[in-house]
Amino acid sequence: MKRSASVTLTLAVTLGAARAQQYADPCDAATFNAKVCQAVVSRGSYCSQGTPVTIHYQQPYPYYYDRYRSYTGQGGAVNPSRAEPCRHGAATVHGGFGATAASHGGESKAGG
Amino acid sequence: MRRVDSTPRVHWDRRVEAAGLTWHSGEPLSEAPAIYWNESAFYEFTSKDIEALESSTNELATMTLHAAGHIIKNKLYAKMGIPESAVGLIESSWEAEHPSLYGRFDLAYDGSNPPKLLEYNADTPTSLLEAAVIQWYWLQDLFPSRDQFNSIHERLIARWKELAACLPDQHVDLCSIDDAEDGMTVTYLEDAARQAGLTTSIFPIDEVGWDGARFVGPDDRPLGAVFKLYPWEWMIREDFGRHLAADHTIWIEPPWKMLLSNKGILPVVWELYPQHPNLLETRFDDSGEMKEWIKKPLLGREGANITLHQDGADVETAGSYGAEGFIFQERAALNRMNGMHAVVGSWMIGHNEDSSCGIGVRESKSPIITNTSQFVPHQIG
Repeated sequence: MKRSASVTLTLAVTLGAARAQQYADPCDAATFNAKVCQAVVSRGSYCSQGTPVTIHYQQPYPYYYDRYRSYTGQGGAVNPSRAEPCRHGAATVHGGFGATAASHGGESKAGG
Repeated sequence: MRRVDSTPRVHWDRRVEAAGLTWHSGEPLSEAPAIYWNESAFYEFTSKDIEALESSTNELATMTLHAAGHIIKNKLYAKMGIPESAVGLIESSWEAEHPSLYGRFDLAYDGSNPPKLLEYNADTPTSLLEAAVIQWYWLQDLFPSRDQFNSIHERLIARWKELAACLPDQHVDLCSIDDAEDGMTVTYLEDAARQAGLTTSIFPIDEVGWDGARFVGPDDRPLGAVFKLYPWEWMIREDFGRHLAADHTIWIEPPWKMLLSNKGILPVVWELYPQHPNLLETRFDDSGEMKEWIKKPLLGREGANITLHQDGADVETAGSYGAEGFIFQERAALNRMNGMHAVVGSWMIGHNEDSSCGIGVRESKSPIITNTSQFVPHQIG
């Protein structure tokens, strides 16, 4: 009895540089921009030529910095991204969801 | 159903990481077990076992949906600790038939008696990647000629394709808190959505904004459809909860799912289907005539604030849940093999009478399964 005849897995579960490079990802080694990368890692988005790009950085900033150092150490050329952190509209408020997870302390995981 | 000792693959940790399971071990200094993904054993099911689990899951899907309708019709919200402010949101999403993506029934099953429903993770189920992908790769590596009850991955992609028609611009944003396991689940769901042809983005739930008229993302873009791995019972009580009724964002899972993820669904479904072979007696308020029972918070999570009442001594777990009330459920004898208690997580993609599509087994030395219990792969023998 075949319950699962085939599982075609083309997983790219870690969102990597491949997708981001086309938008001049400020955290990519070849387009590294330290100031912007540091600012956008925790925000999950940046703006490139006025266009918002949402991206999930899975690692903290030092990881991307180390990758950049390793890349340049091997002679890699860098063309720094011109992206910048997105600026919120004046009337927009953020942070209205997410507080309960913090209040549950060690049980803060929201999935179950 | 039996538990079989097995030799882990060489560099198993690298193999599961390569497939996306970054959260395979507990924190080195925590009280959690060192290993979350445990392939030093597997569970072997017969075809008859799988038939029983599949048909029971589909029947439970029908019964719990009926129970949700019963709650709405009879306005049982207060009994379930659901505030008045959420009622309109629930009822409008129910009437509009806002679609469900997935859910997981947790079942007690011993291979001989019918599976018994312990609870329904209808809103924010995790352990999805392990069940859909990681255990499948494990099977292919070690037992390629064997099978597994697992079409979760294909069904998930197919479900996203179905949902695409009702998602604005065929785009979905995915949100969770900053937690390794939750992030892994959301990233996997994003991958499935992209394979289904949707465009996607991921950001933390606390980056959702409100511009005075609608919900927006971190970049102030209006949110058309959002998959949120964040419980409804938290959302409706938080600051932005007051905007939910006025906004037109499509939320996945939809608000009506908060009826099903609430433990109060258990006494309601028991009342509608008393003595059903897949149900355990469950009551609001007290234990009645039950001799051994489990007391669970209506809105508890991950095995927190559970009291197991049995002969000898009660077992309790810590936590910060229970303010909304509790239910009392007849104690199910969990399958115990080699000193480990097992719970079968039975997955549904969508929510109807043929949604059952796979299982994952979690086990623990304790009779209460928590977020530190281990995931063990399975095969059909």
